[in-house]
Amino acid sequence: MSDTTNSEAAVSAAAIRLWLQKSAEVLAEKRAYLTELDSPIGDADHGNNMDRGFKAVVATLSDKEDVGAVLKAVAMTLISKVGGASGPLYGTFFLDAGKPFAGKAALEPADLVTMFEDGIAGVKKRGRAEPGMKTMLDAQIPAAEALKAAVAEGKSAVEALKAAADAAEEGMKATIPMQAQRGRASYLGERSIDHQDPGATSSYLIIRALAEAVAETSQ
Amino acid sequence: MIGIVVVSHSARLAEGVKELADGMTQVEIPIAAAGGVDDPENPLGTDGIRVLEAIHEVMSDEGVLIFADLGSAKLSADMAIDLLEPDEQEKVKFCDAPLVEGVLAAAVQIASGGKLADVMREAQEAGAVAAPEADTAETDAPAARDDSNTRAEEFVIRNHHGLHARPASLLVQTMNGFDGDIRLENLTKGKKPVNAKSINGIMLSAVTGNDHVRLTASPEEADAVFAAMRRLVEDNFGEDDEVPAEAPAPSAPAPSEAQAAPSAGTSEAPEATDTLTGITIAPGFALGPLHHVRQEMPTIEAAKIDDPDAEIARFDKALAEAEAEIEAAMQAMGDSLSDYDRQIFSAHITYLHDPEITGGVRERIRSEKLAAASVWQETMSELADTYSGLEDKLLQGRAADIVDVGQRVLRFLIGDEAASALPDEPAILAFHELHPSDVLRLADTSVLGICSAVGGETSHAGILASNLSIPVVFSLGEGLNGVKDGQKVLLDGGKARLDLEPDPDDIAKMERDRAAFEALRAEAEAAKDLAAETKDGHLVRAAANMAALEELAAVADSGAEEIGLMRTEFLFMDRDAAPDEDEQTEIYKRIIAGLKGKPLTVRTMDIGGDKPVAYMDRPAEENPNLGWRGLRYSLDETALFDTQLAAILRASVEGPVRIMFPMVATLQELRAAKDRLQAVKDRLGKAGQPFDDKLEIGIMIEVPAAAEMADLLAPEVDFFSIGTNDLTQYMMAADRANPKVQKLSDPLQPAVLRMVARAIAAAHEAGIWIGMCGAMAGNRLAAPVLLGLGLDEFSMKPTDIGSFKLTIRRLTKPACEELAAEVLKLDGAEAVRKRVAAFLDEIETT
Repeated sequence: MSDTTNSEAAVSAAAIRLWLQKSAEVLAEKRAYLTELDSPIGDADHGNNMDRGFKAVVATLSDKEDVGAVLKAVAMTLISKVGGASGPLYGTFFLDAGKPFAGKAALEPADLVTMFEDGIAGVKKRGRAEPGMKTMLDAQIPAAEALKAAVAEGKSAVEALKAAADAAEEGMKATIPMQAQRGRASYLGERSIDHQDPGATSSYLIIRALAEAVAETSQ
Repeated sequence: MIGIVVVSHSARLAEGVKELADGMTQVEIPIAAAGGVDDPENPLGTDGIRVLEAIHEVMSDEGVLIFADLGSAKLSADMAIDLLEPDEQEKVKFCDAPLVEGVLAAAVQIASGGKLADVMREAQEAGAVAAPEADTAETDAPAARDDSNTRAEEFVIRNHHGLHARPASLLVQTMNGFDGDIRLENLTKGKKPVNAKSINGIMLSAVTGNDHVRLTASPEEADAVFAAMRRLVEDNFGEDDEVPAEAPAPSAPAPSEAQAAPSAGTSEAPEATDTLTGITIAPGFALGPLHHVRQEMPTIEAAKIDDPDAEIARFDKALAEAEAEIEAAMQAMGDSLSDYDRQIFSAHITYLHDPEITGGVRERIRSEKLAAASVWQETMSELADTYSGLEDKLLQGRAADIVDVGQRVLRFLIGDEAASALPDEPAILAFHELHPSDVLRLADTSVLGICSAVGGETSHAGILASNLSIPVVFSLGEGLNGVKDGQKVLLDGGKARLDLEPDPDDIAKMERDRAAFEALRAEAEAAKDLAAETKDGHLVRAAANMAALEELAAVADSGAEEIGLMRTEFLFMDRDAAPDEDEQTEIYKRIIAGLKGKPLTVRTMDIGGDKPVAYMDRPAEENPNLGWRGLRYSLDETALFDTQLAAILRASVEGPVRIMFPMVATLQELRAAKDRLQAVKDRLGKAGQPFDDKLEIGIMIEVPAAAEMADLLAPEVDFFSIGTNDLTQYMMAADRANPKVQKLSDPLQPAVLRMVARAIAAAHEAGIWIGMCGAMAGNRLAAPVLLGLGLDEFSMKPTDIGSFKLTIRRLTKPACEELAAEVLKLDGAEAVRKRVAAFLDEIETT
């Protein structure tokens, strides 16, 4: 993987595994922060739930050279272990994101776009949510759009994912002035304004972890 | 059946909702709880994969309904549905209803056979119950009634708490059996009529004790609907706590009068017929006043006291005296006390020491300055009610224990007369259902006879009561409740009849019958230790059947030369888990030791679908007699089977034992059972456990297939034993419990006798012995025929042995052989009966 001639090549199953490990690390590190974000507008368990879920993901990580199988295993673990609403939502994301890639050992940049778009479509359906409702979609959708644009311009996977992570960060911050319309936070109405959405935050962290993992494995 | 999945953030809440729903229905509904996440530190949450598993646990073609508590639980439920195969997805629906009310309403509808859509609608409407009164009218608005085309009848509900959850559930399940619209209107509370098939409708009607309700049904169904309702009302919807009728003005409410006679004062009281018929548990005759035994605490007026400390001291003294009395009873029973009895008595003592119970009583005596008797009575009544309200039969039985211990303490607080459930004068006792603990406490009292409204001969209480020397009849029906306390009645145990209005002729006839019965009993008693030998010197073996350790004394004293059948089902019933190998070994050893060298034939368990054992988790069967029972079950549930075989083998060092397999239909089954036995022997051998390697192996001949294949089965075993009860009903295709076909289900039918003849011939051809352990073996009319056919061993109720030997000792073998050949050609059981009776008369007179 350290062969520089492969820098334009695919995102391997090993890179995906590294992504998930990095996600678990950052979610563990930011566990208290996520819970703190969730306290005023949710039930103060997002950090805990995500940390528990991703620890379980790492513990049961599939060593198959099959991106679809790895992502499906992640989905099933999250569905089972996260506990809160994020469980079925992230579970759906990974389940639908991985579906087109069953049996594939690596992803091309265009595949990354498909992965994001399919995953996001699943989350929209599961949560009956649209952008602007102060949810994880508000980080995921800008990321997917930036990724798609970069790939269309012929950028490498590393560059395209960096653009995606930057867009996710912008999207995450943009949730601060929004009024929540889904989940527990929506019960607060206007009082949900001026808080950053914990789901968008965890999504940003996960997307940033992807960008870093692919960058590292492509060096 | 439609399944239910309960999804909750809390595992305990999900289990609790399941428990509540389980308790609401008579039939078992598939319900799976999917609550919480697997994280001890943060257990709250939902697990979509667990929901998926739960769906699969309760899945059937009829579908599954999922209920959830909070928002993300619904997401997990949706997720799980998405993970199903497409053909499964169609059958699974998420039901957006309040969790508790919704699941309960759904469970009741499922139990009464509702379709998925109906069940869902009923569950979704359940929200209305949570907000009572407000919209009673709306919920029923579309049901504009056309009074001109319906019939109505009024009923008075006597249940203390009225139509609360369980009775309402029973009512709905009953009414769902009818096609047409049925409405219920609470006249007392002035409620609008509601749909009698809707649990929510019924609960919204807020029917409480003594409320008058009107039921309306279509003219076509009205008679049947009202009859069904009448039965429910008469039976108090299966509950015991009844409110006193309003009508009679209460005179001085002495405690002993406080109990309302069941059904008294209701216009629907059944027209008492003058005879009730049940099933014989023990023969004999009794004439005397009937006394209903209160299986509840007597009512005691709350009284104030001045000195709480003195009252608490009095209470503590009564507890100590009650405990001393129980200890003394245990001492008195000595060796005949089985572990089961010991557990019952120990449980009674535990109640006396339970801090929740006694501490609460002391607290109320102190804080409210109330007399100990009234507080104790109230506490124990509530506890008993709680138990009897549970669906679990085993726990229901605990209610009797609580009442027993409650009454015992009351006796020391307020004196015998007011507290005791038993009358001072000798009487015939009437129970709703007899519990084992009742038999134990009656053992040393002077009682003329016992009868009960419900209960079977193969129940634990039935087995225990069959060894009493007084007439006992079970299953007389709810009509027994209508008989007045003190009414003079005549109980005929042998004929299983209770004559409610015996006239002088009846009594005179009974006296003659009793004299003959007593004379025969005395004669049989004298003959019981003689040999079962014919006049011409042919010997047969007289054996006894038994089922419980408590019978040991009766069996040892019966004149039996061996035990031809020990049923082992009771070792497994009335408990929370199967007895382990050591416990079973100990029980068999104690019985073998008590038999002092007489051989014991242990039949491996024949748990059938008709004898529910909670922890075995057996599916309900439409035809339990043709179902998964006997060896069929044992060969599938090999862990249970191996444990039992090992225990019997280990006990074999104590004395002679045989192993007998029930319900064998094929040679293959027999060989599989023998293979398992050999494997268990190998295991014990390796472990250095001693056992009798040569112990005899036999099979029951009770499935016609086994009788047909007897020639091939016989060389594989050491003995046969014919089970005539099952063989007869399988042979004649007639259910012995169905009175319409009882004449067919008669072991004296020539077809059955021919099958017996063939089994005997096959056994003797192979050089093995053959016995019989069904009811026919102790039947006086069957004895000469079976002797003539060559039967070697007759195993019967211990009490029948003396008279059996008397009969055998008057016979000669050749005459019986001729008789047997003759009756095999007669046209039916009736002709056989007549012919044998004539044969025996002839012998008597010569």
